[in-house]
Amino acid sequence: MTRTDHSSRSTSPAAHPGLAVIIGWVLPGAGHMLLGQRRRGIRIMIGMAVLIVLGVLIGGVDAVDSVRDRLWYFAQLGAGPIVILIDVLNQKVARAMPAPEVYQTMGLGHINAIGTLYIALAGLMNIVVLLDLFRTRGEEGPARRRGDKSQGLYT
Amino acid sequence: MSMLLAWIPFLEPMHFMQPLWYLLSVPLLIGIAMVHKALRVPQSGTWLRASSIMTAQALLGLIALTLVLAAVVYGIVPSLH
Repeated sequence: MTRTDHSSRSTSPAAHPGLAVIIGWVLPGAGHMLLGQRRRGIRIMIGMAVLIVLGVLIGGVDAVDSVRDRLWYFAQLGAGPIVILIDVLNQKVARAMPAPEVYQTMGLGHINAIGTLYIALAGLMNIVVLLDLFRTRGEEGPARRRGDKSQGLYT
Repeated sequence: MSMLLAWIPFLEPMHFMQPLWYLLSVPLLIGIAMVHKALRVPQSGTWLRASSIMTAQALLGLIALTLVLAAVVYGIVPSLH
């Protein structure tokens, strides 16, 4: 039995891929929602939230550090303004703490690397999501996801 | 245990997970699979099932790579000396 998703049929007349890219960067998944793919947008939001929230949970605010991990920060920026906010919290709040407390907020070893990696991968995945907006026109079906087999289970 | 009690979530890193850091790759794989399958699976498709299968495949691939590398490092390399 094939289920149909009526929300995917309509494309917003005002929706432009360029605008959707900006909206999709500010709030990952919102770009697809703007182009009429509400369900896909919600799924992207959930996936990105998993990566970003777990990244900060594991690595603390030090998982985003524009000063000491600059190259990683560039990759993380793809996840949107939330990364800038976390970096501001890291630089202005965590780093401003007095000496004994500031060491507790610093990530060390594998934990810092993994926390940083979570958010960097969120940023890189969001760039893929943004690129996907240029081939998204709201329609759904075999032509939309031609590479999928068996509802995309093995692709 | 005392490290866990003193931990402030989202501010301090999870240093108590340092000995078990490799377990943290599982949620990472889940997150990547969720975003990837959100793009690949049709909107009416089984997204969670597809994400679970991709996570399991990636995890099995990592475990297989670990076993192969362990065999090389602990088995083949010492025998060369």
